[in-house]
Amino acid sequence: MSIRNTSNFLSDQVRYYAQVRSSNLSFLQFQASTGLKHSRSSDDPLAAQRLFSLKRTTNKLDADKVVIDETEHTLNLSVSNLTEAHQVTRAAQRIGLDARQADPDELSVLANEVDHLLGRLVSLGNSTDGGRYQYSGQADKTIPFVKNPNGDLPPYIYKGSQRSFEVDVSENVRIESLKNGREVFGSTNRTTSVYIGSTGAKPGPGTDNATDQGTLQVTHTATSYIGGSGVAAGTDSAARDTIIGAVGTHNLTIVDQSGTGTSGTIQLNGGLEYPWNASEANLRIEGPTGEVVYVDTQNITAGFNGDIDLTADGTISTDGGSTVTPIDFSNNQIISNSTDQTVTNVDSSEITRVGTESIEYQGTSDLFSTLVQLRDDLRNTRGLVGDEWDDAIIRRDGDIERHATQILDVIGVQSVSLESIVALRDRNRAYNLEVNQIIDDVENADLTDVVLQLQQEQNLLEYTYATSSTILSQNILDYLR
Amino acid sequence: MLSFSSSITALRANQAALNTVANNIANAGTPGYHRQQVQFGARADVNVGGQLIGSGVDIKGVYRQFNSIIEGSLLENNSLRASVDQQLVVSRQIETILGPGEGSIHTKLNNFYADLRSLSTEPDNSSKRLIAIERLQSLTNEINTISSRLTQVERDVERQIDADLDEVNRFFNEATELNEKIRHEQLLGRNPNNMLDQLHQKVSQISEVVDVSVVESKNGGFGFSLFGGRYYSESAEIQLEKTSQSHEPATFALAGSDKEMEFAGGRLAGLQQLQKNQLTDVKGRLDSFAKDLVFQFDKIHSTGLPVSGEFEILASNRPVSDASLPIDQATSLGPLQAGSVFVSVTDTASGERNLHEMSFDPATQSLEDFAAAFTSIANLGATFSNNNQSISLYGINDHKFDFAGRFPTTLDSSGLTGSSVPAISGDYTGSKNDVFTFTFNGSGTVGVTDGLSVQVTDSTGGLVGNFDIGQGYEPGSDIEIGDGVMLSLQSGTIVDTENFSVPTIQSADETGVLAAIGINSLFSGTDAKTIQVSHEVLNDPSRLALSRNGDAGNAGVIDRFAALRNAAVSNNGKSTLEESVEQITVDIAVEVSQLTGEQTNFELIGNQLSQEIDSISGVDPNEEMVFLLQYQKAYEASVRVISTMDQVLSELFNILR
Repeated sequence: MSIRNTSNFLSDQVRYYAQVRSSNLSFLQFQASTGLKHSRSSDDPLAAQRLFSLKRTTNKLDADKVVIDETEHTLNLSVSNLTEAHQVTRAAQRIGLDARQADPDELSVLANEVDHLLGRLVSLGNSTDGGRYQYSGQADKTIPFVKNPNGDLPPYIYKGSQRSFEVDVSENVRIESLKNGREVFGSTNRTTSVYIGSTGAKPGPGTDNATDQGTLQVTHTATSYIGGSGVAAGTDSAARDTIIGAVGTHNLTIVDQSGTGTSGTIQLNGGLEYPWNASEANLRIEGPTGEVVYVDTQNITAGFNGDIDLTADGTISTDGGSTVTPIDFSNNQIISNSTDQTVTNVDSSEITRVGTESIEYQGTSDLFSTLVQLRDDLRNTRGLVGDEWDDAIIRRDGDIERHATQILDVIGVQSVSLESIVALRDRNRAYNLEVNQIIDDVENADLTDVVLQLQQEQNLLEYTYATSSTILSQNILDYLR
Repeated sequence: MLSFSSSITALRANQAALNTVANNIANAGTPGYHRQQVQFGARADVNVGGQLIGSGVDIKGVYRQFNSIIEGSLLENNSLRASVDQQLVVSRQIETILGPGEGSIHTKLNNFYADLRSLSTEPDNSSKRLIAIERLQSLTNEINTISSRLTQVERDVERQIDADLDEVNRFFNEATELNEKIRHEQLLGRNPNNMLDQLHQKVSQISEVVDVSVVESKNGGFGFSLFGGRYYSESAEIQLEKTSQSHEPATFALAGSDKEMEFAGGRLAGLQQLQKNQLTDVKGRLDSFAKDLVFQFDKIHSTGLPVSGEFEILASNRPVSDASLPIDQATSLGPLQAGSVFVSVTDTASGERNLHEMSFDPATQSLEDFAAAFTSIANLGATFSNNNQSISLYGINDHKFDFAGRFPTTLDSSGLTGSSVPAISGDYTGSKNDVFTFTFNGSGTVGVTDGLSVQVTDSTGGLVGNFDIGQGYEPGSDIEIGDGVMLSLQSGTIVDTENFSVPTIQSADETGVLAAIGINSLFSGTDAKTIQVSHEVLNDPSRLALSRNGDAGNAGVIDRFAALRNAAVSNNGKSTLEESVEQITVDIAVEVSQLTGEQTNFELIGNQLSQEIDSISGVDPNEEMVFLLQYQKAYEASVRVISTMDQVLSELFNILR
């Protein structure tokens, strides 16, 4: 500092330091009034950058929280719905159990109860939350289960999305919030189909893709007899024979009692002996289990006594005869259904009689279809007899059990998701709190410190004024006389 | 009467000194005033009786107390400080424009991302869509506002440059006048102190506009040095001109010269710096951010599907400069690259959907080429509009199209001789476009023959998996191949080693051309000034193309938008979009902070220099009072000498009486 300081310089100094102090006081006043540490980013660019990053983090966490809350709500609602659906399945199972000891009148009542349960179940399947269907997957504005207009099985057709709706509840945590309804109420795992009937048809080893229930029609087309006996198919044979089989499956035993081929007896598969004569063109012969053939005995070889083999050809169809497949007596015949474009693999090697098999494609019915099947079986619309009915009711119980398990599985998965979500929410809350505390540290002023600084600056300003006043008041004129 | 004459010179000299003191005191507060001091000098001796005796005192001159070195330093400091002050004022303005807080671009971008997260829980919720669009519009409006404010600042800076240029030229004219007067006085041997002060005051004013220094000229007056000493003029006859065009960073030259010169200090240097650096940088980065935002979001949005599904017609909303130029050169968005664009064509009657691949190289192919490639696909057409700068794509014969890259409903199974028909479904979730090849192992009937399988490989031959389709496989049921792809085979036969391939598409536009020309875009515009939410989306929230698979509730596109939040897609792949815009604010804050530091530094240096100068040139009234006493006493002493001499002479004359 120069030794020569003018009063000008001294007053400049006063102005300068008073400005500095006032500026500092003004900033401290800002801090005390707003609680903020900085008035603009340039006050501390590093803190500004940190704040950006921290606020971005809280924004993400807040956004995650919204997603978490919404997803939690959706899952809670779904679990609640599915718990009720599970109760419906248990109620249906109880009905099935009761039905086995019930009389026909009671069965009708029980069938009506199943109908009621079905209504509840459909209502649950089509439940909404804020205009969103809970079980339509990604097509959440589309009603998932719509009544089948044809009245066939399945009773409700799924119209929702094949894809469940997933949402990222947090970084790298993806949760299914809206299930594809098929995964909840749809079929379980296909198992071997069940054939109910007496044709001898069995499920082939191939895998069917037909679903629910169906019928297999076994129809006779022609019976032919191995040469030598002179017996031939009767005039009604094609239309009315009820036997089906390759050579060796069925046989005829002919005895020419006349020795001239004019009369004798004839039996089918060792059944009752029927008298024949040379004038019979359409003799009905019934076998021991009710199988029937019509034969023409007009040209029986004179003196023929013995068994003769025969072949009875036929066709099988799963679409009511629209598409017929000749029976080849193999272990796997693929039968196409032209109505629903499905295939059924049939073991036709042991088909012996015409008739209709009721096929249950096990594990392919959705829950609604299963309940309809139970209801219909309670009403015995398929005309099942004896053990067939009992077995069918037992199978329905098994079907419902599988669906109940499936629903429980979904509840389990969603409950686990809920657990994750609750954990995520807690973590989100804790992390958000922590980040907000850091933001508080970076952004907000320490008021104690501010007050102390305020006092210090105020003192300095007063000192500036005091010293200035003292220095500037010194004047040589005061000493000159 | 030597004594009388000596005393009289003393009276004159001290009277002059008292006048100087009075002048000093009078100008104690005058800006630019340098205190003056009278320099006395003894008069020549006279021979009195063979002895040389002094003959009194002369005023050798009245001189300013002036230190050219310190004054020069102060001038330089003034210039540098003025430059920093000017930069600081404008940089603070920019900082305020880009400031954080509620309503800032940062908060709005944060909020838009948050809205997308909320929308991801229910993509087809019209209220959520509306909120997201409104927030997005608010963001684009904020970007427009910032751009417009920065442009206003640019204009203000330009106007300030013009005003400063006028001012400094006026100062130079005034300085020239003063300089001439000083030269004239100096030639007459006079010391024009006040004129010198006025000139230096003028130079000080000039130094705040441009860097300037002055040196005494050997011809009298002062010479002027400018542009960091790279230019020197013997006089102040200097005029400066702006050589740049409007809306360009200013450049300057001396009048009559086209040689561009750069100032080393002063407001004009600061304004020039602002134009070249801060303003250009901030505007450029904001534009760059806007471009990145538009391009990155539109690249995703262009391959999405709105609630209504496929498109009948799509018009581009980013006109190209010339439809015949390669798109790379005709548009400003990018980076674009050569690759494939996949377009799906759907028969609205049958629902059958085909997938077509268009190879496109934006570096060599134009919008016209794109249109030709598009129209070469069956049931698609294209027309040009807006002076051939825009294009409309449309489907014909009841066909619609989209760029979602979904699997075709019917595969090309021309290489298969079996009766089983394959189908591919699902949403591909792989990280890149690929081609999956499905090769049958074994011949027989699907779902019946034991041991049948299908092997799936990717385009590199890598094994994706082997899947059983023999006994146990339910014909028509989906097999999960991986990466979201599902295969199903209808009942029928397959033949060993036969195969078919399916493109699996992560992005249906590898080139970026759809975003570049604005097909099915979320935004319109290409920079901070023009960015807007596209008109179609703004008018109809259902036009937000958020689905990748056609389900209205699908959030495939939102998930990709959300993934952008953490992706380094801005600032040449170095930052996320949020970081990019935050960094602009932080950088300008750093700039302001540095400038504030420099300003404080220059202020301190200026104070020190002013103190130094004040210690030399400043008027201290107390000191002047001392001088006043000193000259007063000297004056009184001289009067006493005259009085004494008068008494002596009186005594002498009394002898004669």
